[in-house]
Amino acid sequence: MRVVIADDEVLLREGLARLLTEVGVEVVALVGDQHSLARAVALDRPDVAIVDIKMPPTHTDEGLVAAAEIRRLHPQVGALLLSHYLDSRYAVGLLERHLGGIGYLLKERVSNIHVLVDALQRVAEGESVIDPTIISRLMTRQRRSGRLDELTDRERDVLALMAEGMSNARIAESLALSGKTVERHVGHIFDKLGLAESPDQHRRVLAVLAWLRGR
Amino acid sequence: MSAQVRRIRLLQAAAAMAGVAVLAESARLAFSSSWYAFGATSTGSAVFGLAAGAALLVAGTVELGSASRRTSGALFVAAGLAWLATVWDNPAAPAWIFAAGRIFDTVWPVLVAHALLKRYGRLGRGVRALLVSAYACTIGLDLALSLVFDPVASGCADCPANPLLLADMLRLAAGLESAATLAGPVWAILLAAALATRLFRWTSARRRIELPMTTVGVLLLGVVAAGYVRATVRGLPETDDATLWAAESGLLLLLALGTAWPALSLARTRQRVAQLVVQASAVPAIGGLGRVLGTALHDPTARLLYHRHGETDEHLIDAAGNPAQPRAELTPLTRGSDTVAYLDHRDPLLDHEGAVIAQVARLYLDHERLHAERAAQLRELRTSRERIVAAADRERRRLERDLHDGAQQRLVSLALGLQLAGLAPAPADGSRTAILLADAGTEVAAALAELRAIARGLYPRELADEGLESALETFAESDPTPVDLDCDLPDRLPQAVESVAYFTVAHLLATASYEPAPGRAIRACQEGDQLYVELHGSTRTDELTTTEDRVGALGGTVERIGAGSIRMVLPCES
Repeated sequence: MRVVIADDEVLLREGLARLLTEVGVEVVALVGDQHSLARAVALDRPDVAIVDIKMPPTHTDEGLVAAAEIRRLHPQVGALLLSHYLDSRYAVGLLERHLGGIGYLLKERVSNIHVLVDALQRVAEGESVIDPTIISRLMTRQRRSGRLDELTDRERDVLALMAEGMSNARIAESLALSGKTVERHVGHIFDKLGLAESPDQHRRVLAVLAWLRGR
Repeated sequence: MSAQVRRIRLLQAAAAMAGVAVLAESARLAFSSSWYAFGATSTGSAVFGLAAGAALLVAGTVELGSASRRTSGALFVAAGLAWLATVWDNPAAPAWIFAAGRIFDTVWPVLVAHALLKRYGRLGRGVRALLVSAYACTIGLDLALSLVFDPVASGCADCPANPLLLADMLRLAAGLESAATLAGPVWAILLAAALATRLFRWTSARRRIELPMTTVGVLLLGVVAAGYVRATVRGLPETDDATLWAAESGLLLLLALGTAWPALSLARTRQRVAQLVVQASAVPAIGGLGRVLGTALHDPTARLLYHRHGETDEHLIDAAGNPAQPRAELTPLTRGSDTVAYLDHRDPLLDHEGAVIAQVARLYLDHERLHAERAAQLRELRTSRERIVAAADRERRRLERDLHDGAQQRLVSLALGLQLAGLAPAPADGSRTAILLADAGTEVAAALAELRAIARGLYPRELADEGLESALETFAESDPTPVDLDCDLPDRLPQAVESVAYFTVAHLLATASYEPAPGRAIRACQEGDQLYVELHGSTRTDELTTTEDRVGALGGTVERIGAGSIRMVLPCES
């Protein structure tokens, strides 16, 4: 896999590059701002661009703008956004604007190389990735308010992974279940929560997220 | 009685005695022979002229008693004496009085003009030069004439000998005589003009008061000029026109009476203002006094302003305590040496009228002034509390940014470093190094999570970026106890209001019990320029001081609306 890293923190992006190289990911470019990122993506055509949301000059949402631009001009290049903040509305907004190939991870997630590489692979394959911390927070709240009472523990696990953007196959792999079992769990979950099942992976993530954020 | 007052009384007594003595001698001379007295030989003209002189002496002596009018008073006394001196060059007079009469009998109009100009304030350089010239043309030329003219030699057999005579030089005397006569109308008209121009420099209020005396003065100088012109035309140095003399006597009498005019006007104002205050008592509303004064002064824009010693500066405030810029000129309303208020209106009054208003409206002024000061203090206090809240907000935001840009970035780099250390060369699983590295990684992850929570508590990013509704949404989402949120805030509110509302809610819910309570809810909506925020269920309503302080700083209120529930109202006009 080939990636571009865009982050204005030199120390962090160099460290991240070395770490990824160690685990066999090819880092084709390191850049520090929106303009250089666009140029690097156009020249090197990576599989995924890892983009810090806050970049110069204003340090607000340059990364978001850059990611939208990449997805528009190069649909085959995925964008994995790194943020210091956790915000479910941000995540939903991202998924609504982009039909897959997009990820939203807490920046400190880079310290867990396996989670990071997993997210890169999923984004490269056109899936969506939402940081588990966001999902676990939403799940906790729903569990406390009793809306998840009808689900079994296993179904809750499956629900959380669906919300993180995983496909059935990946959920099966992650929970060490068979594909059939996962499909059955998903069917039960949608029945119990009163959601219409959608064959489209992306729509499914959005629907689950919306349910989790609701009251 | 102070030394100064005693000196003034002494001066007045001396002036009075001199006046009586001179008046007696002048009366004797005026009635003693058939010689011309005040332009005629009749008793009537003599009485009229003497009365004018006496009136000037009395008015001048009275004015000597007023600190601001001492010089003009002395000049009026001198003018009165000089006016009487016109009857001294009388054959019945002793030689020295006769001589003095010859010297002093033309200077009185200059003294009158000098007194009037002095009354009106400091003299300019031009006016001073004019006065010196006029004195030179009258008393100066007459003195010179006295040294070279012998009345006996020129045909007045009854006249006493001139004790000042140096040599009888008839032609020089004639020359001096005609020079004085020719110069007469010039200085008289120039002095009249100097008086008249004063009128245009004054404000209309002062003009009203000074107009009568100034008019009399100008007319008087006009008559004097006419007398000189007439003498020049007829070639006679002496003026014997009874009409001119009678006019002069009459105008001098009016002038003497006129010195009493400001005092009369003051009494009238006092009465008028007293009536006003009686009216004002029917309108005790704050700001009412200014309106009543405005009505009386025919100036609807008139208002009262008060002095305010603020925390950092001194400025004027209106009756409601708002800082005010004077629109027109200010008349200070003084009590003793203190200025209690200012009247802001089109025509400034004289200072003494301000003092009158301050006297008669004392109670209302003090009431309104204290009210204005209190309102201004309250306003200052509120802005100061707002500043404190804003400063605390700024500090929170700064700390939040510092944590993100500094500590958090460093920790992420550290986590990366630990990962790298764990990879190459990979320590054997279960080895001491592998365990220590894994422990360090866990610690760093925990530190990062804690740091994030602290930064959030300091100032949530959504509050700055997206406003109160988003911030409350995220708060409700991450709060461990489920809480229902019902928000209707389509527009951004002022930053201070958003911060206060958010942190109050966060504080109250954080200190609330963690037992899930049915009906636990946050409701927020904006109606007009008020923000309403309600917290329902499991709020500790026994300890609301912090909340009240926070909300009160923005002029808002907090009330309990049932068990565990409160409502906040925050003004939010932007």
